[in-house]
Amino acid sequence: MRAVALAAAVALCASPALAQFTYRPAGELVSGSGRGRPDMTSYAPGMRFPTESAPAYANSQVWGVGGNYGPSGSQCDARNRSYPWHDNYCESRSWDMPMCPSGTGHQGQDIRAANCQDNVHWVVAAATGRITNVGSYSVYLMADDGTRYDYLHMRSVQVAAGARVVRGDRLGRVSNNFGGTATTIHLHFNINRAVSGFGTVYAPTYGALIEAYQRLLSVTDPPDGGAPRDGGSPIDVPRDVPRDNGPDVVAMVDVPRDVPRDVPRDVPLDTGADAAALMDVPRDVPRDVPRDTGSDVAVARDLGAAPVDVGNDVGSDVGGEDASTPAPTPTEDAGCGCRTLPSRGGAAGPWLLALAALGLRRRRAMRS
Amino acid sequence: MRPPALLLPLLLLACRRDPPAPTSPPVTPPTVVAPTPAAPVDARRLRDLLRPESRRELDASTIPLLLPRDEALVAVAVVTAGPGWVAASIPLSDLTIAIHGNANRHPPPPGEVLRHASTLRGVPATVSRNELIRVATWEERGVAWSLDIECSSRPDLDVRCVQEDYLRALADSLVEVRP
Repeated sequence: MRAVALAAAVALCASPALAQFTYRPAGELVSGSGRGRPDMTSYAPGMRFPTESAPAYANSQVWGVGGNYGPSGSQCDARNRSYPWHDNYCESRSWDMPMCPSGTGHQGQDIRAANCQDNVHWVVAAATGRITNVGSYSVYLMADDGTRYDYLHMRSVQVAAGARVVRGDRLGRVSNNFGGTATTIHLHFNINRAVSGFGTVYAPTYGALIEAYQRLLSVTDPPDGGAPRDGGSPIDVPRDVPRDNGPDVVAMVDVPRDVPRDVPRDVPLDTGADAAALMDVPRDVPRDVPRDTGSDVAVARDLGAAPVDVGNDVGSDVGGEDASTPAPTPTEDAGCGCRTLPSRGGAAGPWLLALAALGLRRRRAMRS
Repeated sequence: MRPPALLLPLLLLACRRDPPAPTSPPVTPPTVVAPTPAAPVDARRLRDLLRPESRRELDASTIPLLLPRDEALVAVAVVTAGPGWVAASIPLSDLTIAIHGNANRHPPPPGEVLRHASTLRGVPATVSRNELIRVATWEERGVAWSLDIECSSRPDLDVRCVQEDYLRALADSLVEVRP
C-alpha cells in the first residue's frame, strides 16, 4: 500500500496538469448543436496529441464564445480555453456523414491551443508516416498503418507532399487559415480510416485525443516523438515563442497587438468562412435544450437507437462529477485496431491523490 | 457459292496468328482483387508522365493508383506510397486534388451499417464535404478510395468545391495506373 501511495504521489508530482484535465463524454455536444455519437473508442491508439504543448482545449469553435452560434464575445474568451473538453465530431453540418446519428456531421474535432495567439503554437505529427497532401489550408499525414491524420487551418506549414515525418515532428502552427476566408484560431483534426465494404470514413477522434492528451500531460509519451523534440516538459511552450505559465495560461489570454481583442461579430472573422461552413446549418435550432444528466451517454452503443442531444454550454461545467468518477480500464479490439476508453471522467489526478491520501492516513494510523 | 479470292489468304493468315500471351498475375496484396482488363486510356503513358520520383513511388506500391486522364494533372502529381496504401497530390494554382487508395481496411464499428447515399464510377459512394473541401469515397476492387478537392481561394464560393459536378467528372476520369 505504501508503494502504491508513493507511486501515486510521484505521479502527481510529475504531472499536476493531468489532475486538472476533465472532459465530457463523447456524444455530448453543446446544446442545440446536433446529435452526438456516444463513442469513446480510440480509433488511433497510441497516437501523439496533435499540438506540441499543453494545455489544449477540444471544443466547438462555432458554438463557443465568439463563434457564429455561440455566446457573443471574443474568441479569446477564457471560457473557450477551459476544461472540460467537449466532443464536436457530429456537430451540425449539412455534409453527409454516415457515422453520425443524423447522417450529417462535422467529421473532426476542433482543438484550441493554450491561448488565442495566431501562428504561435506548434502542431505535430500524430504518428510516423508520409505527408500525402498539402492544400492551401490542409495537411494530410498517412501513418505507416494506413491511418490518415488531417490537420486544417494551419499556417507556417513546415512540410511538403512526399515528406517523411516522425511522430512528434512539427508540421505547422495553429491558425485560422481557411482558403482566403476566415475562421477562428484553432486546429481542425480528423482521423480517416479505410473500412471494409465502404471506403474511407472520418472516424471519431475524441477517444484517441483524450488518450493522447493524458499521455502528453502525464509525460508518459514514448521518447520517439511522443515527447517534445527537445525532450523537455510537454507543457513547455516552443522555444521561439514567449513562455507562458502552463495551465494557468487559461486565464492569460493574449492577443497579438495588431489584432483587436474583441472582434465584433459582424466582421469577417465570424461572417466569412464560418458562415460559409455553416451556411446549410439550420438557424432555428433550440439553444436551450434541457440537459440530460441522468444517463451515461457513452454506454449507449446503438447509435441509431440512442442519439444524444445533451444541453451543455461550453465552459459552464468544470470538473465536478468527471473528476470523481473512476476510470475503467480501456478494452482492446484487435480486429478494429482500436481501444475503447472509459466512458467518463478521465482525470487520473484526483484518484492518485485519493490513493496517496489513503496511504498517508494508514501510515499515520500505524504510527499512532 | 464460292468464297471471294481475297478471303482465303485472310483465313490462312488468321490461322497462323500466335496465341495470346498469358497474362501475368496482378502485383497486389491478397486483399486486393485483380483489376479488370485495361481501360481504353493508355495507363502506361500516364505512368510515364509522372515525375521520376513519383514513378519510383508508384513502382514501389503494392496497389495500383487511380490517376486522372488529364495528362496535365498527372504531370504535376506527387505520388506517395506506403504499406498497403498509395496517394497522389496534384497541386494546381487554385486548387489541390488528393487521391488516396488504402487496402488497410478495418471492419466497421460493431453494430454499425455504413451506407452510401450516392454512386461514383458505377459503385456506391459517399460525396460530402469536410471543412469546405469537396470529398468522395468508395471501394473499388478491394481498395478504399478517397478523392478530395480543396479550393485555394474562397472555397465557399468556388463552384468546383460548392457543387459536386467537378468532383464527379474527375472521379469518372480516373484511370488505374499500375506499378
